[in-house]
Amino acid sequence: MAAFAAIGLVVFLSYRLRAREIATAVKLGARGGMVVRLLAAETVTLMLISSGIAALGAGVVSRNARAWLGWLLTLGG
Amino acid sequence: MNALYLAFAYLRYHWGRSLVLVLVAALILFVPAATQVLLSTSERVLLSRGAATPLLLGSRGSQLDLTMSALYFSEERPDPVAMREVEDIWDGGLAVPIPVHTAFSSGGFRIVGTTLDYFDFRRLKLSEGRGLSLLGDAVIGADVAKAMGRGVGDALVSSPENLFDLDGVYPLEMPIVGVLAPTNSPDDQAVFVDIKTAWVIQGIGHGHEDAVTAAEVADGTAALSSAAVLQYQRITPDNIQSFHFHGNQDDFPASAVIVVPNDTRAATILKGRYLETGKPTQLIEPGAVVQSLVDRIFRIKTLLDVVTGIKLWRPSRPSVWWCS
Repeated sequence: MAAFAAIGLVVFLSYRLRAREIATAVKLGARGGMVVRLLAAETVTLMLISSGIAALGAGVVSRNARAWLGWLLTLGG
Repeated sequence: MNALYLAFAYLRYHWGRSLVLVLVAALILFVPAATQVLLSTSERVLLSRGAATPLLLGSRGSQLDLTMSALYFSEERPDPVAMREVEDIWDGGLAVPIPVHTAFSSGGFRIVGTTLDYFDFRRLKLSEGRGLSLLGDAVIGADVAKAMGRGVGDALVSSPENLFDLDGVYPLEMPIVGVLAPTNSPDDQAVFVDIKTAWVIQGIGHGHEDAVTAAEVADGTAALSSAAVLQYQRITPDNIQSFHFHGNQDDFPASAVIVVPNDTRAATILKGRYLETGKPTQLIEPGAVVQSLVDRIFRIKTLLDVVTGIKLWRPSRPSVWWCS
């Protein structure tokens, strides 16, 4: 839940920083719906790539979890 | 389709910015996922170790300390339980008792004094060497072998527990006779010895040497030997026969006793026998103790998740206002 909130925040802030670009696109004649579709497509593409990388990482962690857990516990000891 | 093409072209053109966004989002998704994987694995590992140990007999006191000491070889030192209790369980014929003595360590790894039943009970296999057969032999876990860079043919020395304890714990050199195959369990980080070896480290058992030999008397050098009794720091084929124990073995200590009942009925009968609060010992189910510990940890985790969610949400509002 917190992770999704953080991602939402990151995406939202990145679009806030690009507000001028979007305003230019609107001035050039892009309709509101088109801008929203473009931003949604961008977000989906970004999320797909990010999720892929995260899933890959989680897979590696899952495969080595027992060994790494032992190592972490050794550090704690 | 057209929007996707344009979006992808935009992301490719601004590849630096896109890369940062992808990495940040991937990291945000990865960290909780990895934490979840590690937490669920730790829960599974903790519970499986607890569930694989049906009953644990120990001295009355903290059940958690007893469990951590006997199952995970932690540094907790519960009060010792007398070997008499082991004999009582043997005599009862309802279960197999496996004593564990975890009071000492070597090079930061716990020395676990036990009987050969332990290896069968935990299904521990040797990757190198042989099992315990002589007093003083040590079989080390896979992590101990890797961390210390030692194997069969090398030796370990027990760490002195207290420099000021002059009459008790003498460091003992133990030859490594076997290395266990890795199990990803606390057994990987333990040095296994026979429980009698642990008693030798404790000072209950020791060896003697004839301080004056016939040859020395003949040579006239007998007077040079001042001590009639020597405490051995190494058990060798030459002196092993001289090792003996003082006192009644029933009074010798163990840290805990793993009790493997024959069936559910036997377990219930045994549990009933230790219900009296007046007894100096208690019989616990380690699985239940570990489960309550895990429940407590996960309750704290849920609380932390809620707090993190609130913390993430609250600072975001002013920044949104600031941007607009």
